[in-house]
Amino acid sequence: MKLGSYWLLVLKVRLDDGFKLYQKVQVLMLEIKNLHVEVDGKKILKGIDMHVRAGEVHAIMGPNGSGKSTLSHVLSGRPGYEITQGSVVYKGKDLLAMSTEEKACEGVFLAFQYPVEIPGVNNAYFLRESLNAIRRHRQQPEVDAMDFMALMKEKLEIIAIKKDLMRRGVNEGFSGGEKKRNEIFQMAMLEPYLAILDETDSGLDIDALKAVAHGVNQLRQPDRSMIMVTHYQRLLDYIIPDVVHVLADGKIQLSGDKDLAKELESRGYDWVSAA
Amino acid sequence: MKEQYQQYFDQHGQQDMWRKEALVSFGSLGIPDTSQEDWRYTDFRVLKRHVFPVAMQKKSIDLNQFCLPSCDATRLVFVDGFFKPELSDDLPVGLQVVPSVFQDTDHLRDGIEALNVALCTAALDVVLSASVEKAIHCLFISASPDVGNYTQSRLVLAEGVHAEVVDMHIGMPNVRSFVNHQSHVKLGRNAVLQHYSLQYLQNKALYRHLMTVTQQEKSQFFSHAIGLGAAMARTDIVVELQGEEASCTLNGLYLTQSRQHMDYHTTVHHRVPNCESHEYYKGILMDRSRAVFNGKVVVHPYAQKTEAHQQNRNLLLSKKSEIDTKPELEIYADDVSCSHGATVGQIDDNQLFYLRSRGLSEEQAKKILTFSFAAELLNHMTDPVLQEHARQRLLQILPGDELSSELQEMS
Repeated sequence: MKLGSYWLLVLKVRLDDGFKLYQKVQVLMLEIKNLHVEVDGKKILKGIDMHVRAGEVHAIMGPNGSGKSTLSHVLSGRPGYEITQGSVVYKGKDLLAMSTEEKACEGVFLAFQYPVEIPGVNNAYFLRESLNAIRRHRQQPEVDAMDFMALMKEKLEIIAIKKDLMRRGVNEGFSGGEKKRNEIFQMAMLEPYLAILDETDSGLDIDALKAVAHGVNQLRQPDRSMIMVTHYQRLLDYIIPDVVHVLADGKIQLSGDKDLAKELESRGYDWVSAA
Repeated sequence: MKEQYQQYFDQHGQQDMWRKEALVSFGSLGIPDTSQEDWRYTDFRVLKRHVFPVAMQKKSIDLNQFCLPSCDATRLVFVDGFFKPELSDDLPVGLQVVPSVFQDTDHLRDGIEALNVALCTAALDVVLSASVEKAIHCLFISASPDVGNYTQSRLVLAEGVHAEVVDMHIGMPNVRSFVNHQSHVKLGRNAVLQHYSLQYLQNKALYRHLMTVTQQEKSQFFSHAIGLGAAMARTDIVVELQGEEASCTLNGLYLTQSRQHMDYHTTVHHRVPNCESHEYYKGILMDRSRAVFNGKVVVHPYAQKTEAHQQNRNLLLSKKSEIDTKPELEIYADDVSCSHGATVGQIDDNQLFYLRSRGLSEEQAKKILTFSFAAELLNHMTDPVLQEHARQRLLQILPGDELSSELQEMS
């Protein structure tokens, strides 16, 4: 009897774990359906379908002009794109209907390919305003200067970014690597549910790439999904994706696991188009 | 028009010869109109229609109604153009208030200046032979409607004297008045003057400030001009570099809204070799407002090794605002280093998108970007209390929610 109840308990724990795992797998973070996008009357995306579940890291690869950047820009709400068909649902809400700042407040974060310099606006100040704007939206209390500094210190260590950069203007005079690191640092501070990393590896040398990848890996967690847009496979050596999509001619041509990226690297993008 | 001022004159038995001469000059010079090159974009014709006589009633004022900077300074208060000793600190040695300091009627530039000379009611005369510890804060309050405030100040700094002088113009709301002020600065060898001209008048005021500066060897002049108020404002600054190795720095920030009109005309004469001038003016224009910047630098013959740099940058926040900017360089020497430039721009879309993608509303993002544009010039102000005061005034005017207080310490 005593033994029997022990095994029952074990069974219950196993079942609970399994259910949690099942739930996690089932939570859809982002659902893109048949997305068509035009720029100045030119069709760029011609029917994208994609599902990103909570906790997953997806990589979108593709040759130049395949529509990779357009996809990340549309998701983040950059103006200048016309959505002619399809839908994007983020955590059950229509993402395309949200303004840029609403998206940010709802937990969507874009790490820019080319982070913008804003001289005269202090980095730390700007981040605190952002954090508090997001917290206000979520009806959480605002963070005061003391707590903010403590939080910043904690996150600075994770990302390994120099503290004095925070005292400068936003990205003002930062090196290419520092700018990209600052993007990941902002992501660490703002704690999004969905992060879109747009060509985060471009322009980085191998050390900077490793540092940025390390930062991103630290931020992987079950309730956070990431979409990495990249031209090269090398980023994926350091941030191992769950799913790899190959985008060409405005459509996802192939999807697979991390091995797809390796195969792509050895065979080139022509192989996808041929297939 | 002249007759109406003449009437006032006769009633009050103004006997001074130079006042009579100035009034005659006013009659012949008249109010400048837009056919004159220097006044092409600024039309003061309202002064032709309305007479702004000297205030008849002395108004009592409670200073607490104004948000004033709390500086440890010698404060001198003028209300409607009259000195108020009861509101002012004791005058230190070297300072006095007199009916007029400027009596030269031979070189009047325009009718507005002539009117000032003819009608001046109070003039601050500062002759310093040694540096004073406290800054001199002159507070000019325009309190009564339909009157003219005719004031002057003269600042004479002897060799090696350092001083900080502040002219702050404020007013009661909805009072249409005319502030006509002139100041004349003479800097001796090695003298250093930090001069603040803070125009925070109310929405209906008319304002004209004429300033002349002459500098001797190795003297340094720093001018900080902030213009946030008045319906129509015109500032003229004329600097004469007369001694070698003298330097002048002219910084200015203007912010205009609704239908405001603000005009800055500066002229720097390099008369001798080895002098420096630096000029940096920035403007923010909103609604249907308009601003004019005309910065002229003249490098006279023989003024070799002159260094003269000038910048005017403008941020237009609405489609209906207008800036007329004109940097002018006239160089008659051949071994000089001079530059000038003017830019007119809008809020950068990429910067705006970047801030919004981090959760800031469009309005907040615009406010932050606009403020950062202005902050560069505010940071040049060497007096921290005045800097903070100007910052607060600026933030009050910019649309959008309040920004958190750390903006100041962090920017």
